[in-house]
Amino acid sequence: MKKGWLCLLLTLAALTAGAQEKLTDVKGIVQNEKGEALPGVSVIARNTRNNFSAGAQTDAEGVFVFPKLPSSGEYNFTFTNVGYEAQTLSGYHLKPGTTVSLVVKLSQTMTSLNDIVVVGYVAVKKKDLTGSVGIANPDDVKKNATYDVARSLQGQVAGVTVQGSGEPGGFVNIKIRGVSSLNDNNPLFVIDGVPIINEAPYDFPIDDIESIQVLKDASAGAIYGSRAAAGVIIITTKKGKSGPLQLHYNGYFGSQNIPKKLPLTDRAQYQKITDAAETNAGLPLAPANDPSSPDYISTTNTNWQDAAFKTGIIQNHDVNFSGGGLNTTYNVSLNYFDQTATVRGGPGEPKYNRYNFNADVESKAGILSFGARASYTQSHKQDLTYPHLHPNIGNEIVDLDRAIPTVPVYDTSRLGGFGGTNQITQKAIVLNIVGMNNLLDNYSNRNRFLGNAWAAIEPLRNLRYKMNLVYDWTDTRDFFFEPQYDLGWYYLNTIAYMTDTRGTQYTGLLENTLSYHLEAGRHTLDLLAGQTFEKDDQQFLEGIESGFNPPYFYSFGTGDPTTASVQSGEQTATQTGYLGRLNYDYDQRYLVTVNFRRDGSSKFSPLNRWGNFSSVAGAWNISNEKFIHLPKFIDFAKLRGGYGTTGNQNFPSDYAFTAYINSNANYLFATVPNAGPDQALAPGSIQTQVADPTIKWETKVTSSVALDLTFFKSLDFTAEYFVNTSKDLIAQPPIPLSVGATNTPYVNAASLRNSGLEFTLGYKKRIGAVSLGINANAHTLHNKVLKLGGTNDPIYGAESKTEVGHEVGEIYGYVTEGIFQNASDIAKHATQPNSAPGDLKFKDINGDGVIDANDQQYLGSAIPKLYYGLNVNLGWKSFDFSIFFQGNEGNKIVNGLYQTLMAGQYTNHYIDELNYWTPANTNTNVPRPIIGDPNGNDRASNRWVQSGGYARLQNAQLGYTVPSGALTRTRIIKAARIYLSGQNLWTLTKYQGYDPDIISDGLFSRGFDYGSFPNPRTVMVGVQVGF
Amino acid sequence: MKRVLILCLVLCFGCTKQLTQTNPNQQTAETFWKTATDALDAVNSVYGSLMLDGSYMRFTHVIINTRGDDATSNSPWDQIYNCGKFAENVDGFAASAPFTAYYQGVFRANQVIEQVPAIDMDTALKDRVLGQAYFLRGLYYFHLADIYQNVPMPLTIAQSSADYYAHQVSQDSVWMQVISDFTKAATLLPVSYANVTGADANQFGRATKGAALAYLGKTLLFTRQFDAAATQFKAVIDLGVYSLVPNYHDNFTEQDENNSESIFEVQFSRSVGGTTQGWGPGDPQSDWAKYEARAITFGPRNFAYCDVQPTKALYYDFLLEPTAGGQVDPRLYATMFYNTPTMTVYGASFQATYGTADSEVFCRKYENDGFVNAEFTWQFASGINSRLMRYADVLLMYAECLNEQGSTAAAYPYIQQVRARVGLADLATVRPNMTQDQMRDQLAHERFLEFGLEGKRFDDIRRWGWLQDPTKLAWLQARDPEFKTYTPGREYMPIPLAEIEANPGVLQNKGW
Repeated sequence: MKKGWLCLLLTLAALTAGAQEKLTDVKGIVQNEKGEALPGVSVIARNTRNNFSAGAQTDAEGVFVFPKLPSSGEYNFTFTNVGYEAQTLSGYHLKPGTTVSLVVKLSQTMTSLNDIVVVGYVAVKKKDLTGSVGIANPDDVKKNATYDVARSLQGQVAGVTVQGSGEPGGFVNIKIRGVSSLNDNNPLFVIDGVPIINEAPYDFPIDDIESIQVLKDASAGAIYGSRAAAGVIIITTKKGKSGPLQLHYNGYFGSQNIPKKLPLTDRAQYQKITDAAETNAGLPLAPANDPSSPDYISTTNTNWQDAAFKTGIIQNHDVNFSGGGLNTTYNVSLNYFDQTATVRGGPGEPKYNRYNFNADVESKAGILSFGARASYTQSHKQDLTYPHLHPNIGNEIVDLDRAIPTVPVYDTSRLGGFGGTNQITQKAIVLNIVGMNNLLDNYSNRNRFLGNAWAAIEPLRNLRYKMNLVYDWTDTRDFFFEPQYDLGWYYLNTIAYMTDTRGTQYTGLLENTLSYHLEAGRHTLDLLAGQTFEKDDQQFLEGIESGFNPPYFYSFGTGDPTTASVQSGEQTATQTGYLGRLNYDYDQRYLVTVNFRRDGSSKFSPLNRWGNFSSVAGAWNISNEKFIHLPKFIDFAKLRGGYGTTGNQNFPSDYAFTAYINSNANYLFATVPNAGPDQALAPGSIQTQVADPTIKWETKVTSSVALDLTFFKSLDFTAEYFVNTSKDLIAQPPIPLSVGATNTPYVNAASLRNSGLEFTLGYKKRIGAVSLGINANAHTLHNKVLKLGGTNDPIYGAESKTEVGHEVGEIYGYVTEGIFQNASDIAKHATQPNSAPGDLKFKDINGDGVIDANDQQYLGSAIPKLYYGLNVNLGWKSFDFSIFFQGNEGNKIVNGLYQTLMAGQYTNHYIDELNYWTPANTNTNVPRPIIGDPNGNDRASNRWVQSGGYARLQNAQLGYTVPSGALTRTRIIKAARIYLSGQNLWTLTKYQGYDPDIISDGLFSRGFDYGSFPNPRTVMVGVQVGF
Repeated sequence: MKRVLILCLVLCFGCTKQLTQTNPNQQTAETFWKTATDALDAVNSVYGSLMLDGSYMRFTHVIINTRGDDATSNSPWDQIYNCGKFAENVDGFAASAPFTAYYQGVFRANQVIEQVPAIDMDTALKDRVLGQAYFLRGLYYFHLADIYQNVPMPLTIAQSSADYYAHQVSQDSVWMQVISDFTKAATLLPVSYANVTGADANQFGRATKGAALAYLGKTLLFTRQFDAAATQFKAVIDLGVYSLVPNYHDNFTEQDENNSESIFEVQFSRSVGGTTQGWGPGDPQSDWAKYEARAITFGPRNFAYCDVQPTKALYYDFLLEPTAGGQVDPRLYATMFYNTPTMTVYGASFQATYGTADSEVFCRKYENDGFVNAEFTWQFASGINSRLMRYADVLLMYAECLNEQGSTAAAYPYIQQVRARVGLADLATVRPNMTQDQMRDQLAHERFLEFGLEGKRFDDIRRWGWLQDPTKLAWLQARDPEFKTYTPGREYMPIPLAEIEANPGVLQNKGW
């Protein structure tokens, strides 16, 4: 009974209210089973004769009042509160001029069978579901301090996987039942019935959430059409309740740190290894590392991790106003979130902050009801950034760890004041991350307006027409400024450079639905028909200028005007759909759902524009079956299953089916021969890319079977098996370079299958003053590639291979066989070009006597076999305590950071490299370091493959609720709770990198960790106050 | 209720019509290829592939220079460091960048050759457009055969994904196609654009008859068809429009581009076009600059990245023969910075910068010394044109053909033209009556000095068979230790792994 507020209001409240003369006061008190007052309970009074209704709420003492109810007729009173069983008192006849007093005791809910689940335009009780729907506990979810709803779902719902990094404001990967698309695997977020197309969880504060449901199969999600192929996450936000204004404040404040540092070499160790690498290559020693050189560095010994990692701050403040009259309710919230980085660096250091304003109003009058919502979000994200001429060396963590100890952090002799390497004496190319963060300015601002208005009319009883309009507008500004500076060898910038990009994207959505509800005897029928239209538009305008001189002004025209240039572009996509659904319920025993949808998209040529998708699902409520007698401890049992298809057209190109002329392919010719640089631009236009005109809809076929059980009135259990097949996946598999195109065209390239088992368990128990709640989930995932393009050619990623019969992004490389100890060792081994004693021996897998690209093999799965999450909540008197464990097992990670730190070149080393092979140190698995690495010791191999499984204490929280008696005297504060919370407190893993919870491309290179920004450890305090 | 249904129907109908969206930013391929302007714009774009990262903006310079004994690399970037050491990795940027760039050029040239004949336009202009497309396709396949040996050879436009998988052909087949393209180009192209009528009038830098003949001759020489090659070179000489510039160094600065010695060069500019360097194999953008990055990549330590340096062998060979006036060969000064008391580097004293004992030498050819105080100042923005075919090369290749045909004595005057420009004594006087073999060595020496750091040396070494001659190979290894890691087969770059993985049936060149 947790999520039912709105629905109860709508379904229980009557539509009309007649004027009455005779009036009665009704008041009462609501208590829990122990006789303690329950504040905030919603009370609905309903006159059964004329359908008049009114609402009220209990105050801090549990008291509610209905002043002056019309007296005639019979009244029902319904009491609802989150976490408690709803109760209805009926048959009250009010006598005019008297006062009726009620005392009500509510008992706590122990099962979730009556939870209301929103499934595609309508709400049903969980026990009546036919499709696969996962329900997250919003209280558990909200304990995770994050800006991102998707992040907070990690480990909370079976079948949902989340990968994230610790970068403030960074995006996360969220997938439902594995990789189902080769483009965007992010599910559709529907917030209060509004499908949010662009980066939904990103701009949305978590505090507003009332409930979260995850639709995992075609039967549940199909009604949302083409956006639903990757699953749907339905979020219902808090709504106003009839009654006086209520004010709530939630806030927390905490600190964040990177919990782990890697053991890297110090100055002397660095110089020893690098000297050996140069000596092995026959090169003279870099003077800075050569003790006999006057340029030898012996005093600088920078520990870059100590220099760069720092404590970050995370804070969140949320103020909520809500209330309403008889027919109109409102809810207004204001939110501020702020997170600073765990990496040092002045004005340019990564950080993220966000302001959010949200207002919601709903009203009804007779057969008409309507609602409107307006959200405004403003966010500022200071990005991880790079010099514009050197964009692709690595990322902030990789460069931080590669920085050598003989460079100081600060160096006033260099322009800008930060240290860097010397080309002649040090030879190493490393980037001073602290300096770069201080010098460069790179941020993204977002202003987002989301407006939604809906109106519904019930012209006939049980026939409802609804029109829903959504307009979602985002303005973005991406700014980059790079001043003149000297960060040493290679990172010298002599020309200041600025880009400023303004973008606009909007989505307009119109939905018309008509629904009809029919009950006849044991038959219940629900019909839904609808039509949708959506338009997505994106525009950008980018200005570029360079040649700025200090003092710098961030405005175009203050640089060198001859360098100024501007670019712009726009793209539009439209889609429309027709949908129909039938729900049939016979005697609460047999339930059937049938969906049909026809979708058209502008992203495909007229020949392939339309797709038809349908699904069917059924459920058998065994516990209601007369001829089956279940044991007494089983309260509820249901068997359900479904099969269906959904379509997907969500790939990032709006005009992929047409070939275009690039008019920027220009050249230049001289205007005067035999002279200076007198050249003029010659316009050049030609087709530079190839396109596949036959591209069409992706189809996903889902099937699942599940058993829902409830035992002992306290234990909910669900087990489910699913098999999903994604066909005609749109992707860009590599094409031969000899085609000469600058792109890889989008084609229907692949088919994949995902299957797995999901288990969900919920338990609630109260023993005296102690309450216990457990929410646990686990799921397995098995992925298999069925088809790849027309030729089934494998697709290669970073140390991975995706091939028919294997998983997406399976780890792939050479296998080491020890180290060549001497020349005869080399002679005995298969031919391995450029190898010498001290180099790694690679296994001749195909046995042809030559080590080449054909001697690679699969080295492990990048997809965990098992994911799990466990929430335990304990309450004792005014104290509450919760812990949340989360983790996964059965996957491998390619530790790309370790690989680059073990390369034995000029950049810094992992301490394992100290054990390198020499003729005197032969009992080792670390090859000799050598500049240029002619043997390819650094190549993709099992050296870098590590176990990726982990178990993490993701959250622990201790809270104290101030007893209501203590608050009564304040007269202002009605409820208060304070808590202490920690996140990412403890991790059990064999992985050697910073953090096994990595963010990668999530696809072909999904197991490759190349300096994923580690997740911080957070310690924070929070308060929740109601006024 | 009826009105609601009608409203629904109207909305639905409107929606379906809205499903047709056209790209507002670009012209579709179907509406192109209609006018003379389209034809000219298209052929201009074929030239654009000459200035990509993988072609002459940067990486072709790296590959063709570091593999010779005139240049070496101590770069901290393995892709450059390993190049001249014949130790490239098959999936590296050095292997894929030129391959990608030249096939992009082929794709564009194929479009012009296939589409322009149907355009209704001035026939003389059409001939010139097609002539340039044939020339450039020939030039791109010349590079592909020369660098990668056996390669796929698409000659038509891919209509669908089924056409993406061109078969690998032998190097000989590619050479035959190159000869055919250059032959067609020579018949279609004008000697000069000074007197043509059309939008291309007075645009210097376009491919000419001379360029096509010179490259045809070069291809015939590379395939050891000396008679035919000699005919082409003689035809170039007889055009009468080319002559050596008096100052050798003028061939490598931005001040004297498209001069009388230049037969074909790639146009670069610091002042025309955008300001963003178009790195990698990406799609051309409106702000892409027309810079080349050789200057900062090859330039001297402390003033540039110094990824490529001349060998000491090149330095010492310049000292072998002083000019008739007893001076050091002036080409040494134009080719490199070296340790001598009067030497300045970007305005600074060489010895003050590097010390008096340090005997390192650095590239000066194609550098902006004298115009800027360090290549870093302009970052990657050098505007010096890459001279792909100089008249001096035609003269020396013609001399080589004469020698190979047995007319050794007839070769002398052509060689001497090149020597005389820099004040070297008459070869017929200082080394008269050479045998054919002696003349071969003499030509090798002359070419080594004349074209030092111009990326011609490794081609010469390979086509003369020195890598298969143990004596010559040992001699090369002594001059440039990078040859110590040469193994048979690696005289060609590896076919990029990406091509092998995506194109079934393409085999790696032997040795990789």
